[in-house]
Amino acid sequence: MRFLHTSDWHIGLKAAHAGAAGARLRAERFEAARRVASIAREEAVEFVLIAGDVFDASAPAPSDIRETAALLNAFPAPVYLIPGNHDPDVPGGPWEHPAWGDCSNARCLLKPEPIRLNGGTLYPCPLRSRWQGGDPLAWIPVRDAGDGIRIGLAHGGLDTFGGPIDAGAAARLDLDYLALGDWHSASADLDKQPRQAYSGTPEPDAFDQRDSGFVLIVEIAASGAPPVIRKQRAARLDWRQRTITLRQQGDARRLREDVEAQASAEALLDLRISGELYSGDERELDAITQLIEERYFAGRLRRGTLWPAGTEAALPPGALSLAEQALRAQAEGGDAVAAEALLLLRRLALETGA
Amino acid sequence: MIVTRIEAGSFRCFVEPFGVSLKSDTINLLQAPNGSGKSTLVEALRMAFLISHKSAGEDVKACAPWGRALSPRVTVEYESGGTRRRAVKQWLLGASATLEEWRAGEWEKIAEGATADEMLRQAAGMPGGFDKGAKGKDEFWTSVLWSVQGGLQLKAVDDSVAATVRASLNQQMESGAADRILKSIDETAARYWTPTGKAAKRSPVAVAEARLHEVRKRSGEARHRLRELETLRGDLIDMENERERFSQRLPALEEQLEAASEAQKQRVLLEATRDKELAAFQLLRHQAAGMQEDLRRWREAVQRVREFETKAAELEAGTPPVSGDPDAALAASQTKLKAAHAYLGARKDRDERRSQLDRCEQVAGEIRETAAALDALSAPSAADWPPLEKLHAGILAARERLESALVHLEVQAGRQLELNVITGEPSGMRTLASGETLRVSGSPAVEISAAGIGLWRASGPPASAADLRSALERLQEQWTLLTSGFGTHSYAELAERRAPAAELEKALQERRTLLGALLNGGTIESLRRIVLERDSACAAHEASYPEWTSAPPQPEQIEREVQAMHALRDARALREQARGQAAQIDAWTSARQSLETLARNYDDAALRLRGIELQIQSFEEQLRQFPADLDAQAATLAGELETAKRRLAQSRENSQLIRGRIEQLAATAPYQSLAEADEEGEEILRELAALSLAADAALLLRNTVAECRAALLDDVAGTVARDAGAILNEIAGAPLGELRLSTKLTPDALVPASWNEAVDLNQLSGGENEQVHFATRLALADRLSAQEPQLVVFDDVLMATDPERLARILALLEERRGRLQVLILTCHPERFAGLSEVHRAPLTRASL
Repeated sequence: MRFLHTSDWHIGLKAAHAGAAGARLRAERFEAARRVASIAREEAVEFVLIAGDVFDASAPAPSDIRETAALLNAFPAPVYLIPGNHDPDVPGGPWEHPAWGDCSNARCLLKPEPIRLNGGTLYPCPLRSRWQGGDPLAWIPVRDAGDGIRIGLAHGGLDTFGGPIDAGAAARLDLDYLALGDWHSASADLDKQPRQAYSGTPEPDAFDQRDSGFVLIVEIAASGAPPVIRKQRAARLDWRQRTITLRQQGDARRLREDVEAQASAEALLDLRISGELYSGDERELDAITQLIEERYFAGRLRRGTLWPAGTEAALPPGALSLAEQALRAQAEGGDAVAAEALLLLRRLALETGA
Repeated sequence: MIVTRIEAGSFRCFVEPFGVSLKSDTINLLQAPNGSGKSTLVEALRMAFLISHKSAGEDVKACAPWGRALSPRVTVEYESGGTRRRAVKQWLLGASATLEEWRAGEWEKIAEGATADEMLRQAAGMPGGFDKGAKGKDEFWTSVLWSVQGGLQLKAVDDSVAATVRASLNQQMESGAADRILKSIDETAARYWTPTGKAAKRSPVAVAEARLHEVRKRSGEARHRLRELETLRGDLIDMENERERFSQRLPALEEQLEAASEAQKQRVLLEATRDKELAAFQLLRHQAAGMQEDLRRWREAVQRVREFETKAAELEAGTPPVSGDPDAALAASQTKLKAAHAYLGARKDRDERRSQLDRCEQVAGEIRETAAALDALSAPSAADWPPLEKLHAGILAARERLESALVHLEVQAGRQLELNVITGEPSGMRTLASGETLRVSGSPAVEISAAGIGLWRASGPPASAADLRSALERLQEQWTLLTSGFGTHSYAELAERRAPAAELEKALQERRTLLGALLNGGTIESLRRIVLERDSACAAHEASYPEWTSAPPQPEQIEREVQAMHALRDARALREQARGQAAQIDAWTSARQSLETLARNYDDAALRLRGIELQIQSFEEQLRQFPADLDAQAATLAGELETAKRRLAQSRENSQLIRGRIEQLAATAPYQSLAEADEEGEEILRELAALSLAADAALLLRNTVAECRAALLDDVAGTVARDAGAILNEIAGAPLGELRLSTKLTPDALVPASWNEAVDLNQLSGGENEQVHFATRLALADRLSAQEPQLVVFDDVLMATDPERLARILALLEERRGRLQVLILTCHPERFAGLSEVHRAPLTRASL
């Protein structure tokens, strides 16, 4: 038996942290789903399991439901999916949409009852509310002679992390494989629990996610045989985070050159900078901002505490010079507003030709 | 102000007019030996600008040449504000002040007198409007700019200097590049803030906040829709759960209701059967009760016949037979018994009344006797006596008062006298024998005449005794009236009678009280009538029963006779009743065959009753098996069933409505709206954070610069100290230290560069000390010359400064050419040989 395990597509993703890039990130969720379909085709899997959270919410846009149903209908293998905590089976929820009536290739498993597979049995554990309590796998019966390869399909965190699912569920329930969803990073402890794994999301949706952007290809030779699990990358986007401290003249220019050299339309860049700015550095920062906007998928330049370098030319003596000294003292004490005021003073001095 | 020419005449050593011309763009060196009038020329300059032409003080007088009655006179030509002016002043005799301006190639007078004085002081730095308060000692800017011989030490700086330095500082800060930057700072801050530091209405921050508000509104609306959606879903789930519960409950309810209805039917049937049996039971019980009653009466009748016969025999056994009608005999005995009782009562009462009557009559006789004795005594009664006593006392008192009011004249004749009582009582003529006494009384006087002897007149108080006498007469009349019935008017006699009368009155009262008690409200007559009535009653009984006359009747005996009569009559009645009962028994026997038959029939009926009763008890037991509230249960179940059906229908209807609303809400894609709004909001928040930082920075910059400006302006002494310190360091050729000035801008202390503590200036060397003061004067001169060049005068100063430092000082002065017009007066020209360019100004005779 060979199948593809995926989860947490989060179609209709709300990416407030991404700001204006939110709409494009939402569009990327469909692209990721299409890549999953391509992998399924390339890997010639017998079926596809989606372990919950196909949608980001229980009230997705109807157009997203239709597009998702059409996409799943076009998968090269039958698809079995369950509602997760983000898209539980609630009245008027996405699973009641008529679009599923035209989607014969995908079965939304809304009841905890066994599904016969070729050579095995699937035990779906759908969620009926976002905060459903109890163990969703509790209903799975003990092994029967005719079960064949027993596969569980569930959504939720492990109890060792405060979730509802027993960390040793697969072994306890005598499942040959437990396909789990909820965690966005692919995760499996094959030494201790070789029969269960989280596939993670096929496309990361935040900077802080590690080991996400995969689907799992699972092969099980026979009931009782250990599953062979292989990660297959599905993500397109490269989420990059950098924190830079500008220390000497030329640092800003070198950073701008690096950002330019690393530019990619598939990369998102979260760049945090702080430190001293020399003459012309603010223009470099503007250029970096422009590079991110134009040559990256999305991103932002986050300005930490920045202040003009002390070696810059002196201002006219008197009040301005004294003000600069006072602001610098504040900025060195960590006052970001004072640092910004210093930059402003320096910028205005430059603009007025002083 | 720069000075181009100074002339003085009749001024101290300058008897003849002398003058000196100065250049404006180089150092002027006036070198001359001691006593040649260098310092006098400086004094003339000072007086020209500072001292009123009207002044005639000692200092002015001291300016006149010694021993000469001349008027000091000074002429000064100077340039100020781009104009060339000439001042001509003369003091003391012919004092005058004239100010002229060079116009169109000739001098033209522009002011004179006090006006000229004021304009000249203004040229020396006096602030406008200060003139009225100006005194001769006010030196204005010259206190700093002009150093007289031996007066380099800056002991006092005029207030006008500090004001001008402050103004120059401000001007410096608002000029050139600084001015442009300041304007940019203000413009930048003005984009965000009002001048008072409030947020500007249309600042970029405000615009972004408005956008954020709008986006949050959209976000809020989307969240509201999502919340409504979640709520509706919850409601729907609750409804479905409730419907499920009702759906499961309905069959059970229907089954329970059917069972209850069946039980009700069975109970009705059972109740009908029981009621039928109950009716039969009651009928039979009624019949049996009739039989039982007959049996009882039958048996009682038999018993009574026996009892009647027995008792009649007993009654008759102890009673003698009576002849005649027993009832009549009984009535006669009863009448006699009643009469006997009445007779005996009447007799007893009569005897008691008679005894009472006798006693009453005895007491009445005693009363009559006592009353007669009292009448015979003719004494006032107890009631009459106290008023009489009171009246008698009144007469005595009136008599005494009258006696007191009269004049009494008593004549005792020694021989026979023929007296005529003219006034008094007894009046009239009378003859008084020898030894006889006549007492004459009268009021208010008594007059007696004796023939041949004379007339006596005795008089008393003027009051008349007529009223007293009249009152006495009225009392005596009343006494006579009241005592007329006693046969005497003597009080003593009446009083004597009163004692036995009181004894009699007491005895009379006791008898009367006793009689009243005996009669008990009645009278002797009425008592006598009662006795007569009782006698009549007794006589009537005795007439009916004559034997009672000899012996009174015995009621107990008569009573026994009556009882015997009663027994006989009762026995007769019993026998009659026995006969009646026997007749009744005979009648029953003929109707019911026999008592035994009746008893047997009754026993049969009782058995049947018991059977029916058991049957009924069985029915009751069965009925008790039904729940007591079977009907209520059935009604409740029916209600519940109806409610469940209704709520089920209602729930279905509500579910449809909610589903419709959920689909309607879901179709609006609220989550997508929320995502878009939150993403846009995040974008604006980022922008807002940057804008807020920029705004805060702009405000902080503006405020900081303003604070620094204010501090600088307030710290004039600090600013000048820094400037002077820089000059001092240049003079020393190395950092000498930090110079500190007092708030009055005079040098205060020096903090050596290698020392942290301030050093008093007196501890410095003489050269450094004068250099400190020179540096301070020069720093102040720099500030005072910010608007136009100023004349600085050094009269034989810096004598303790070494040549090296003096050279640096001269270099500093040369640097200031064009800004400062320097006039150095010295008798040591070799000290200034190092000057590259100098105007050596000679003292020349002038044409004053």
